[in-house]
Amino acid sequence: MPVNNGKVTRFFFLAISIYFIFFFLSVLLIINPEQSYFIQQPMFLFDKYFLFGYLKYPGGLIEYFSLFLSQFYFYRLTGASIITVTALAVLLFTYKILKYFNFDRFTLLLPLAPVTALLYLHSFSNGILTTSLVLLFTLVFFFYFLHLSEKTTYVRFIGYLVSSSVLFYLAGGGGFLLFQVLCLCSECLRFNKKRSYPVILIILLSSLIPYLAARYLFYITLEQSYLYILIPEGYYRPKFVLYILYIYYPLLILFSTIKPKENKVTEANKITGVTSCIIQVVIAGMVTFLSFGSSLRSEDTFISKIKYLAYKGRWDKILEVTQKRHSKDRVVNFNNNRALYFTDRLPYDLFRHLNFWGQHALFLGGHAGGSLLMDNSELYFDLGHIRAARQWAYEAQTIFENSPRVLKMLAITNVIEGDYKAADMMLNILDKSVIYKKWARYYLNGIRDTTVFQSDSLIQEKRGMMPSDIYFMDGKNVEVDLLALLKKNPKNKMAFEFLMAYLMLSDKIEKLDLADEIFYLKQLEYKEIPETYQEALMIYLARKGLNNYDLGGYEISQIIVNGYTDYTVILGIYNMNLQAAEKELYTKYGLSYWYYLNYISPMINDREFQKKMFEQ
Amino acid sequence: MRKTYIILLFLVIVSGLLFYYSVSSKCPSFKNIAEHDTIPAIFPDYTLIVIPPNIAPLNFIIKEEIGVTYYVKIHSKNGKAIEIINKNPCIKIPVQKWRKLLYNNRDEHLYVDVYVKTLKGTWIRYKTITNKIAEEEIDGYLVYRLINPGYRLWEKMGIYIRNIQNYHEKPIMVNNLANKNCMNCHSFSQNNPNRALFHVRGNIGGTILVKDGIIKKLNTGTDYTMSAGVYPAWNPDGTLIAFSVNIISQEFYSAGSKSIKVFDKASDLVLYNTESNVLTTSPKISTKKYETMPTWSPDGKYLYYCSAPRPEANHAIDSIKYSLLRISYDAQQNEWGEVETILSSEKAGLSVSWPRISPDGRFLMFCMSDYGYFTIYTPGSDIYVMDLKTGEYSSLSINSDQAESYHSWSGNGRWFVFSSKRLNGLCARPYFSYFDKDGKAYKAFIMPQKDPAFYETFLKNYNIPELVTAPWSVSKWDLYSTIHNEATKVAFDKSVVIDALSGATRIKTQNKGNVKN
Repeated sequence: MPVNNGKVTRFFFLAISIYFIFFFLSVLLIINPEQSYFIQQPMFLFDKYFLFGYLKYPGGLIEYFSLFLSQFYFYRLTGASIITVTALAVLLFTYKILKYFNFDRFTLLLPLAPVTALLYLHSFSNGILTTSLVLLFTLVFFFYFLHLSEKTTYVRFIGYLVSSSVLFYLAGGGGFLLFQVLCLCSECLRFNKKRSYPVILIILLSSLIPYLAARYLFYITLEQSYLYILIPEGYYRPKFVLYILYIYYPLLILFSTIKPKENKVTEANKITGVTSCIIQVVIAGMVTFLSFGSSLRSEDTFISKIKYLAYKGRWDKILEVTQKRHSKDRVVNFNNNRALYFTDRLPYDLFRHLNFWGQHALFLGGHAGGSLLMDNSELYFDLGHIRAARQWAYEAQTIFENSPRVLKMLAITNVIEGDYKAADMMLNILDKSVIYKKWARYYLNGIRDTTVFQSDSLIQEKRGMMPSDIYFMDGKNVEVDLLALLKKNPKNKMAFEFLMAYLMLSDKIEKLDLADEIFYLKQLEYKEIPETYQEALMIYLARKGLNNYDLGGYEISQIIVNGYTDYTVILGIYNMNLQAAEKELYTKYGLSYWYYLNYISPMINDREFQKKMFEQ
Repeated sequence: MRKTYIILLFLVIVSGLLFYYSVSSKCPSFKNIAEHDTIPAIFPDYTLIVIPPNIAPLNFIIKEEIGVTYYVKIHSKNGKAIEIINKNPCIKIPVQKWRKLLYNNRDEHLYVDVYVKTLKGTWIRYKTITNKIAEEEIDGYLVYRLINPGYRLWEKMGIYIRNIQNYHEKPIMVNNLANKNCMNCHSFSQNNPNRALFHVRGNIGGTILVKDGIIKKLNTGTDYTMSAGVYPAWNPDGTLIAFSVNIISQEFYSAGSKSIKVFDKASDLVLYNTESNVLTTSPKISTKKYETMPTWSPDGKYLYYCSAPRPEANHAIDSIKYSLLRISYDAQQNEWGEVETILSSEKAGLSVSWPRISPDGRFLMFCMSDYGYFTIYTPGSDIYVMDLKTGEYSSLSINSDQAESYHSWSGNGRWFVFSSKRLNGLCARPYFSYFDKDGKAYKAFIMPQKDPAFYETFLKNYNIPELVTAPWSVSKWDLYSTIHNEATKVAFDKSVVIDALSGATRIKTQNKGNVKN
């Protein structure tokens, strides 16, 4: 509190309270910890081997603790509470440290700045709690180290050595580095020839701790030992704001040496204090609003939201948000296509949406990596190709070892395949999680008594869809998988619509015989051939040179026939010069399959496509 | 004040007596005891087995009726019995007492009595489990790679050494220190950890060779070989290492009992001299056929390997079957003898892989499966043994309906370890089996863990279990530094007129680069 002044103090607490109410509501309603949970997939197991895994490297314990807490992101309210309380604790210790240095200016703004940074970091769904906890633990350790300042040099020497070693093991190199710099700043600010030299010496010598740890104790690199949490690791990418946060505290300590002029508390000062508080609140609010807003508008946040909505099966919502915001991202395009299917719009609206990625956003195989592996697995699961779903999930498991999403997929696909022993293993792991215990118990019970599965509609449905033909899946010729699914179950609507979409997007429409197409259309009780299929049929007939053909009672509408004729005439007018004809064709047929083939299809038009695909 | 001391003293004595009583009176009083004439179900299955006298305690879980108390007595002819009384069915045996009991009773039987007190208060006594303690010890350490059961991708993997006389496991190297690259094919000369190698792949790829305290990183890829060295085999004196060079591919099954097929598009054999740093080959082992999986006879005079004819175009992958061949080699003169067929795939009707000869040179252990050689993904793969005196071979009784995929001998030839997926068809686990002088293998048992439930949730494969006689002595920092250093390029033998690009006459190609697996 800036001045021992009741009015200002009350205003101070009021401002902090309002800020944190805003913070909590933002996390709860906008960031949505459930979405963060889905993206991060934190799994905590009540199992000693799970713990042992996190004891093997510095920073492991804080990850372990972070996983314990962030598993409760599963529930939106507890997730928001955890993030808010962590931020509140950071504020408290920042304030206490400032107070220790008798620094009483900007006492609202300065402790709120790191909290704003934390809100920004958490506003991304992949913003892990570990980063906040490392900061919090470092501040706590530093705060208690400051309390040793009046003790003897020996006590401070030992105190630093012990606390820095413990912090290094607990929070890793990033936290240790910040602690070391803060202690050094603090010692230099309160420099005393007799008392400070040994402590400064040990602080400097402690730089060897990460080196020795990497050299003799742990199986980590020097970079990992010195810079844990500050360098990319696996799929973790630190945001720039994190570095600012780490620089902020040493600067804050140094800044605290600038002492203000002594002023008596007067009525005028009281007013100045309140005004200052208001200005600080306004600045903090604006910074928060701007940073928070920028993160919410970011492409990363948008992609996370689409992924989350897809996982939740909120397909209408996906179509709604992608209508408002066009994205060229492959995952967005992929989930948009899925959303079209689940809202019965795939055969009609496939080319009404930007299909920059073509067939590569219909299936993610071949070049799939990272979280795409599970997206692909879930697509195959929906299609009923359980073997492919399981294969992709196994690949995902190598990267996201304990992801509940992966383990659940492996458990259910193994159950459907009848590999109960393999399923049992996944379920035994999930059984050790408080979140998934109930889910796991249901299937474990089913494995003990398989009659449970006989009345499980999902398992029975998927078993009825699985291909029985044995062939090699190469992830490139997806039509083979889809035809195998249709052979097993000609009423597999998703397989048919994805087959048609795949053949159209990849310009392989002649790979499905007309008779087969008509057969499936009848099996699936289409009253008429969907428009895009009719457009594709025009191409098919032209390429095959068929004048007489049997559509089994279906018709190609005259509008489509005339449209195709018109399209080719326009091209003819421009001497088949696609570039010259583009504007006119776009105006008249921009949402047609023909236009996609000539102008959008990545395989035909974009030479940079392959490069971009590999980059993603 | 004195009164307080007296009360405290009294409490201490009473507590001490209670503690002594609870500890000393292990054997519960059995009232209403019911006898079961079957041995109890336990996990892991440590029943009717032969065990080494130096193995870690075989902790287990009693998988019988849920009880309130479990009592286990482990005893043998000599020495004091081990008694354990538990409130849960997880039986953890004290290491020191176990060790003493086993050492005092070599070549004797080991008895395990299991009693369960039911919820109704009655005791059930199961038929005694009778195991045998062998006279001969097993090599004290096991080296393996731990990796998730994915197919194409990985994130974390490592090569580890486990002291099988206790439960201590230590990494030899983890891929976190190798830019997350794949590491594979660890191999030792005659179970000696001081003569070892393993491959690191990717951008810092190379073969890490440890020989008598010297660590080297080799680039075994040359202009004349289709890949860097893959499957290795040290000759007995540690001067030569035979490698296969392979172009490996894989395919995934859409249905059926198999998930994946790993196969070669081409392969040959080469020989690396650790002293001259020269890689050589011969038209006899680098033919147009596929040659792979070399192993040496213990006297170093023969190189055994697997070979399959190059298939016709559009062949079915499951038609490729490997035969077992051997060729004599005179290391002094660098002379190759004639190729002999030891077991043809036509005769066996199956495909041979992973040949390994017992240290006494008499028995040849190998895998056979319906096709190919990459047995870890082949549920039908079993282990066979051939008596090299008679040429007769048979399937071992230790096989299961899941993949038995890799095996290695202990230094004394009385034990072998093998990988098996019998527990769940998914993760390979190391199993040990006693192998007597007449070539009979005894019921196998899984490598013991401190927590007997460990395997139920441990979602990693134990790849290439190799028994070694001593602990690993190379520091991880030295390995780490070597891995990140430039590799020494091996030279290709100029006198050889064949290259190992599937048997073509050697033609030097410009800037061809090397194909890596």
